[in-house]
Formats: sequence, structure tokens, C-alpha cells
Amino acid sequence: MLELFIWLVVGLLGAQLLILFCLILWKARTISHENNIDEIINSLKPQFIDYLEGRRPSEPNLPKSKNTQAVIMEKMLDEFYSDSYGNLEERKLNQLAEKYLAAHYRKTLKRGTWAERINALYFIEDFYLVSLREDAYQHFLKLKKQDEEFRQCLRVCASLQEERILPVITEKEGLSTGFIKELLFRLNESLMGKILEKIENNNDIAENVLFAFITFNGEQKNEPFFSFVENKIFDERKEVRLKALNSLCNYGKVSNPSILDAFFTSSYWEERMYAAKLTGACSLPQYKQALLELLSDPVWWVRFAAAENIKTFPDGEALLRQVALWDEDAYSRDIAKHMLTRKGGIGA
Amino acid sequence: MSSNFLTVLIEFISWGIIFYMISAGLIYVMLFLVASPRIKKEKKLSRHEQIEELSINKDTYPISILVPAYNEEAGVVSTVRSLLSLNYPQYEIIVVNDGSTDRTSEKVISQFQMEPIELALRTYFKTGEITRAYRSALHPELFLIEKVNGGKADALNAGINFSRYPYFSAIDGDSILEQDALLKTMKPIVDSAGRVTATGGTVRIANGCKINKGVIERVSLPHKPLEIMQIIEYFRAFLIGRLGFSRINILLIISGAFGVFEKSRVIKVGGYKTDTVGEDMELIVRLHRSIKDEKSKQRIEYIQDPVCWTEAPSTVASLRAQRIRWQRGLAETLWTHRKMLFNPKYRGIGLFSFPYYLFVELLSAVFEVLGYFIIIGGLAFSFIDPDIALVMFLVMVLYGSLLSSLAVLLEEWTYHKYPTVGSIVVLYLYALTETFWYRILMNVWRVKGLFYAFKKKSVWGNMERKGVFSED
Repeated sequence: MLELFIWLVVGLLGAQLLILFCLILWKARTISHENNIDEIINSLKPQFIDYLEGRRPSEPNLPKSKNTQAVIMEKMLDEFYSDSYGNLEERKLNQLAEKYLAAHYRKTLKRGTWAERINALYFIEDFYLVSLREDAYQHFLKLKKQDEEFRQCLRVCASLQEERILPVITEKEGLSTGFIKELLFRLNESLMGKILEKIENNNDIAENVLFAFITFNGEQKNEPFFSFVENKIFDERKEVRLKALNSLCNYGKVSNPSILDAFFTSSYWEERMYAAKLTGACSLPQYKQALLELLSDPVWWVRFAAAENIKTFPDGEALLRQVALWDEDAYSRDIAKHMLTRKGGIGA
Repeated sequence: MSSNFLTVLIEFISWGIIFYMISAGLIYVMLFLVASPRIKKEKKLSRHEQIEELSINKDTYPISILVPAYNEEAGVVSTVRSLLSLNYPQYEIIVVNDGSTDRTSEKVISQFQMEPIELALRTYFKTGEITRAYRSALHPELFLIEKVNGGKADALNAGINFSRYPYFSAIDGDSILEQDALLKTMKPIVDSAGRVTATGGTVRIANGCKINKGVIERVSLPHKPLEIMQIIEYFRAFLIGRLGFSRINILLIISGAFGVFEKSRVIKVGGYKTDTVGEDMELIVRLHRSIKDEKSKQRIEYIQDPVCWTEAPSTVASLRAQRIRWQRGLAETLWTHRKMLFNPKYRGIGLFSFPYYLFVELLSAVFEVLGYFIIIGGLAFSFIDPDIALVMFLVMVLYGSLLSSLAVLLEEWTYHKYPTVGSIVVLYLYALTETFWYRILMNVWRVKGLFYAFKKKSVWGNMERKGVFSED
């Protein structure tokens, strides 16, 4: 028995030492390889910047190995695409990405591991590799599981304006509102118009698609879809009305302020809150009195929104000070006092 | 006759301990096997690219970061600074000074130009009285609230009352976050459209690292053996244990040093419990309980990325105090929720997680200390076959040193945060020494902690801060 345990401990220790030895070799090699790549990048970067800014007529020479070329260009272009290099010529950047990376990513999508494929998809989108549109779509068709790869592949297709994914956006089950918004964000106006058609032609459209469309357009202040969003404040479903009211706050306008009248006295506190928020967002001084009345609303969120939006008017602070000092209602005094000291603009 | 009986009894106990330790070791290996496919799958994933979208996405939920602080004058400014530089679209920082007797408040007030503000709180939980609140003139999203001392849990509850965003994160005053920590930790919540209700990330030890203005500039090892051993211990706990538990949704601990929670669910379960020293684990158990009771599909997740760096105790006295406190906290939580033990209603939590924490995390120290007595006493007084004593010793080496050295190898295979070849060798060699000194210390303190669990008293603990973050 003792011998067995001795052998077990010695065996495991030996195996670990072997792994340790391999890891040390691997680490030493990785460090040296990374240093080598960094050195090449450091020497090539200024030359590529000159080329991209038009001060150098031809492309700098890269090492011969295709893999090294891909690693170097990926690192360098990733940096160039970031904000700090905003003045580089995008057309040339895109040409470089197509030339050195498109084939590499095509191969990765076919044969790479899960993590490598996702990384490739991230970069296909970052570098806007239009030549890989069909590859990305075909890859998407093969995906069964709704995981990060599925989501990133859809993002890529949306970025590359792949029309065949529109039915996925509007009909696929299990996509969250937030994710649909991410996809809408990538679509151009023409494809957005097609999404609107699908929504209007389908009364049973999933609510999260409708919510995403309404919210997204408000956040982006998309003028072509303003009237669609505004009409939704009369929808019979409360949640849709709330999304539309919230979206109008983001638009910061209404076509006719009187459409708000009914919301100030709505039996739903959320609608009263949004009425208060819209008053501030659209700067509608005619509803200042209504806001003052909402300061004594039984719901904290309504009082908070009323106080917060009174403050957005030029005389808002003075009004709140008056309320804080003289109002008969303790709720009103409390929230006015709070708003006067706690700054921060419009709350989330 | 009686001497024979004693020998048989000790032999029986010895084989029991050997069997127990082999089983516990196998559980670790099993957890490792559960965790490793995911670690392998995600190893090459670009973490930065993965969160790029979130940093600009308007649906990335705003979050309130709560920093409970009791006598944290050495590190609180650096912690706040690191939080101010986080990459996250919308967040507020709320430092809760829980009646510190040192200059915690003064440091924050002077460093960030805090100005008094009027208080109007929604009170979800009763807490110690809040005496003052401040807001920074330099950073509008930074708040400081001062309250009467009530313990860490009470401070966190006060922070939740004051917070205004739908998610909150609790971070210790002696910890700093990596710049993308919040984005990485929120990602499972955003991706699941809120189905994930709480997330925790891997915590690492900052002792030895070069830190400048609240940012880790260079990761390196400390010099003190005690600190190095804690680094190895964290590898073992986070890389082998927690990820395995999280994979099967039975994770019972999100480190008190850093976690993200859905505020409404925490409010629903009553906030942090103030009469325990293990408030972080206790909250997670209660969250699991409420999720299971409601038959909700929500879950608690752990992300494997190292996102939070914390100051580990550097003296024997402070480490001892910390470990006694942890053990007490664990005992109290398991006792409070004892009905969940072996209860099939709570599935994996009741049938695996709870027994694991009871028999492996809580009681292993008792078995090991008993083992020490048997080995030393047995060999010295010859009341046990020396072969059995040696087998027990070898099992201890397997369970202690070899598992920890495996964790070191795993860290190098996955994250290799320590940049030099020398540091892996040092960590590996230290891991091999674990059974011979560090584990003995830990076990003795943990047994003490178990005894102390009977004397209930809610305290912060008196960890002596060297202030590894204050060397700005």
C-alpha cells in the first residue's frame, strides 16, 4: 500500500515537472516570439503610417511568412482603426485588410477553433471586409447554438448589409431586445425601411422586435421613423406606449404637445412619469404647472421625474426652492430639496 | 485489551481520514475536469474585442459601485481612482464610510473635492443612521456617505438604499478593478437579457505588483512567502473550484471583494444579512434559494477572467484574523441555511454544493488537524503502524501540495498573468511546500474559526493594511 502511494506521488510529481518544463519552454518561446513581432511592428508602423497618409508611394515590405504577415497586419490595423489614428485613409486601410487578412479569416472560419472563429468574426467586422459577406452568411447558416459565435456572426452580416438576415432579426425566437438593437444599429436606412415594412405587415410581430425598433430609433433620433414611433404612444398595449414615450424623450420632440395631456393624469404611474420626462426633454413650459402637481404624486419615481424636469427650465431651481420652503405637501418639499442638492441632469 | 482497542480505533480513524482526503482530492479533480473544457474553449478568445460592443451599447445597464470602507485610509483613494478610470458607459461610485475611526472620509473628501449634499433616500432596508452625504465637485458620479458603524453588510445595505441604478457592484475598499472589469462582468447579464442575476469575477492578489494611480502597471510576485502562498491559494480556489461550480449553476460564493448584482433581486431577498461575518456567501445562498423557490430560470455566473486585484494580508496576525473570520462566516451561513443540506428541492445546491462546502471547505481542517496528531503522535508513541502514518502523509502531500502546484500550471496554461519564466518556477516550488507549513497554519486557524463561530459577533476584522495601492 505504502509503495503504491509513493509511486503515485512520485508519478504525479514527475508528470507535473514534465508539464512545468514544457510550459517554461513554451513561455520562453512565446515571449521571444512576441518580442520579435513587437520589434517588427515598431519598425514597420511609421512606414505604414507614411504610406496611409500618402507620404510614401508604395507599401512597406512585410516578412515572407503568411502567418507572420497576418499577425502583424492584424495587430497594426487594429491599432490604426482605433480612435487615436483617426486621420488615416480608410480606403487604404480597408485595402490592406482585404489583401493580407481576408484569405486568412476565410480559412479560419472554415477550419479554426471556436475562439479563433469568433476572433476572426470580430476583425471581419472591425475591418469591414465586404469580400467575406457571403462567407459570413454561409457560416451563419451552419450555426446551431445561440452563443457568442452566433451573435457575432449576425453582427457581421448586419454590418456588411446582408439582406438575407432580416427575417432572422424579425422572426427568430430567443433574440433579446438589446441584441436586436445592436443589429439595427448596423443596418443602413434602406434595410431599416424593410424592417419597418415587415413590422407593419405583421400584426403578430414579436414584442421585443417592436420594442427594439421603437427604442433604437429614439436613441438614434432617426427622423424617417419618427412618425411611426410617435403613433405608437396610442397603441393599446401599455408596454408599447411606454417604449414609444421613452423613445420620444430621446427624440426630444413631439409633433403636437397636446398629445401629452392625457398622460399627466393617466392611471398608470409610468405614463405620468414619462409625461414629466417628455415635458423636460421637449422643453414644454406650458406644462410646468402640471409638473409641480406631480411633485406630490404618490409614486416616488413620478415625483423624482417631475422634480428633475422642472430643474431643466431656466427658472426651475427657483421653482424648486419655493416648493422646498413653502409647499404644504411633505413629499413635494422632500423631493424638491433632494433635487436641489443632488445634481446629475436627466436620470437613467 | 484496551490498548488494542485504541490501536484499532486509531487505525480506523486514520483510514477514514485517508479515504476522506482522497475523496476530497478527487472532487477537486472532478471540478477541474468540469471547468477545463470551457477554459480550453475560451483560452484564445480576444477579451478586448468581446467587450468593445458593450462599451458603446446603450443597453449596457447602468450600475452603482458600492465601496464599503472601515478604516481604509491606506487604500480607499487608490480604489476610488481605479474606479473612476473604469471603461463603462454609465455608473456611479458610492463610498460608504462605516463609522471609520481613521481618516478614511478626510482622504476622500480632500482628494476628490467632496461637497455636502442633502439626503433623500428610498429605504429598502433599515441600516445604521446615515449622518452625512457628499458629492464630488470634480467627478459628479462620485458620492460619499457617512454612517454610524454597523458592519460591512450594513454599509452595503446603506449603499443600496442610496444607489439609483438597477445593478450594483460591491467592491472592497482594499481592492482595485481592471479597466474593463465591469464590462466583462456585466457581459453575461447583458447577453442573457437579465437572466443572469449576479456575476462574480476572478480575484487576484496585488501584493508585489507595481500600481500607479489605481492601475496595475506590472504584475510581479511579492517577496514574502506568506503572500506568495496566498496567490497560489487564490489560483486553486478560483481556477479549479469556482469555475467548476459555476458551470453547473451551483456556485455558492461570489467573492466579497468584487461582484455584480441585480438590485431588485437583492432587495427582494432582504439585502445583506448584518449578523454574520460571511455576508457575501450568505447573500448568494439566499439568492439561490429565492431563485429555486420561485422556480425562476435566473442564474448566478462566474467569469473566469481575472478582473479584481486585492491586497492580501501580509502579516501572520492579519492573515490569522482573516481566516478565522472566513471560517466563521462559512459556518454561520451553512448553519443558517441548514435546511438546504441534502434537500432535493434545491437540486445541485442542496445535493452537491452544500455538502461540498460543509464536508470539504468547512470540515477538512478538522480532519487534517486530526491527521497531524495521528502522524506525529503515532510515530512518536508507536501506537500506529508507521506505514499507515506515511500513507496519510503522502495523501496530504497529494491533497495539499500537488493540487496547488496543478493550479499554478493551470494559471500558466490559461492566463499567464505573471510575465517572467522565473515567476512560474517560484510559484511552482512554493506550491510544493504548501503541505509542510502553510496548510498547517491555515488548518489550525480554520479550526479556531469553527470554535469562534459559536460566539457570534459582527465585526469587520482588524486587517492591518500596508496599503499596497497607496504607493502612487
